[in-house]
Amino acid sequence: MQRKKLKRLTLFDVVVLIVSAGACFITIYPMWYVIIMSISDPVVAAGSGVTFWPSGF
Amino acid sequence: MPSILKRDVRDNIDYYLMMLVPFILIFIFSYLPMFGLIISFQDYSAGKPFLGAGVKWVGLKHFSKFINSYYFTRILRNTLVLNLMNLAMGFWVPIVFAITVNEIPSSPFKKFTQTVSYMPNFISSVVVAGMVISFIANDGIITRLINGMGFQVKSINANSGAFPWVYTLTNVWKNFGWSSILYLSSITAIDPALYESAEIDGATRLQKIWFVTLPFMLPLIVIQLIFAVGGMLSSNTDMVLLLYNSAVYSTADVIGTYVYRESLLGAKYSYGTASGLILGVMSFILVYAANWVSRRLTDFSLW
Repeated sequence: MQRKKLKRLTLFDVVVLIVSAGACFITIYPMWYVIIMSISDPVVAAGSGVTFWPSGF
Repeated sequence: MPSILKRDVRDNIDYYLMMLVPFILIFIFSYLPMFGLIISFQDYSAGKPFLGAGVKWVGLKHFSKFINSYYFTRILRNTLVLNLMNLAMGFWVPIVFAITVNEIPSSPFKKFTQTVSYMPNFISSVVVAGMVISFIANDGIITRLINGMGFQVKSINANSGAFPWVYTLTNVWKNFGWSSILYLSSITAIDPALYESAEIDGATRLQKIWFVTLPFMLPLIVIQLIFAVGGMLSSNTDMVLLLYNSAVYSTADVIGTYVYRESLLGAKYSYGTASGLILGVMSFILVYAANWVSRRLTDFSLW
C-alpha cells in the first residue's frame, strides 16, 4: 500500500517533470545548435536547413 | 588589556591565520588600488607620478563635468533599468528551479537536470555573448523563430528596445543553474522529520513547499537579495560590453561601459576615475539602504 502510493505519478510530478525537462532543453539546445551549425555544410546552415541533426558535413 | 589580546591570539592562532588569507587578498586588490582615486582630482596623463611637483590639481572639475553631462542621466537610468530587470527576472528563477529540482521524483533525472543546468556557467561570457549575437542576427535562429510565430522582426541586435530583454535573458540563462546550487544545499539541510510530520498533518506537496521549504530558505533568500541589490550598480559590465553595439547605446550604455570607453579607450583617465568613484559611492548607499530596509522588515541583515 505504502509503496504503491509512492510510485504513482501525480499531476504535481508531471508539472515538475515538464518544467525541469524544459529547463534542460533550453540549456542544452543552444549549445547543441552551435555544435551542429559548425560542423554542417555552410550552404545548408545559412539556409535554415539545420534544426536537430547536422546535415552534409 | 594587552595580555587578554595576547592570550586570545595565542588560543585562536589557527583561526586568525585562516582569516589572514582573505584579509590580505582584500587589502591588496580592494584597498591598495583606492590610492589611485587621487587622479580623479587631477589632470592626469599616463606615465606621470601621482604626487609631486608636476601634478595639476583641479579639484572637483571632473566630478561636476560628469554629473552635468548629457550622458549622466542616461547611464544611470540604463544601469538601474538593466539591473532591476536582471533582479526581477533572475532572482526568483534559481529559487523556483531549486525547489522544482528538489521535487523531481526520479533520482537519475534529478542529477541530469542539475548537471545540465550548471553547464552554461562554465562557458565563458565571451562565447555566450557570441552565441547570443549569432542567434539574434538577421538569419539567426531566434529571429527566425519569432518571425515564424507571425511577428515581423529584423535585426534584434540593432534594436534598442530589445536590448534589455536580450541582456536579461542571457544573464538568466547563464546563471540560473549555478545560483540554484546554494538554494538546493539549503533545502537538503532541512530536517526530513519536518516533512514527515507535515505529511501526517495532511499537508499536500504544495503546502509542504510553502510551509516547510520556503520558511527555511528565507534567511538565505534575504541575504542573497541584499547582495544582489548591493551589486546592482556595478555588476555585469562585461556582459553589456560583449552584447552591445553602438546602435543600442541609448538603452545599453551603463556606468561600467561608459567608464571603460572614456577612460581606457579615450585616455581620459581622470574623468573615468571620477565617474567610477561616483558609481562606487552610489553602490555603497544602495547596499546600505537595502541592509537597513531588510533589518527593519525582517530580522535578517548582513551587519
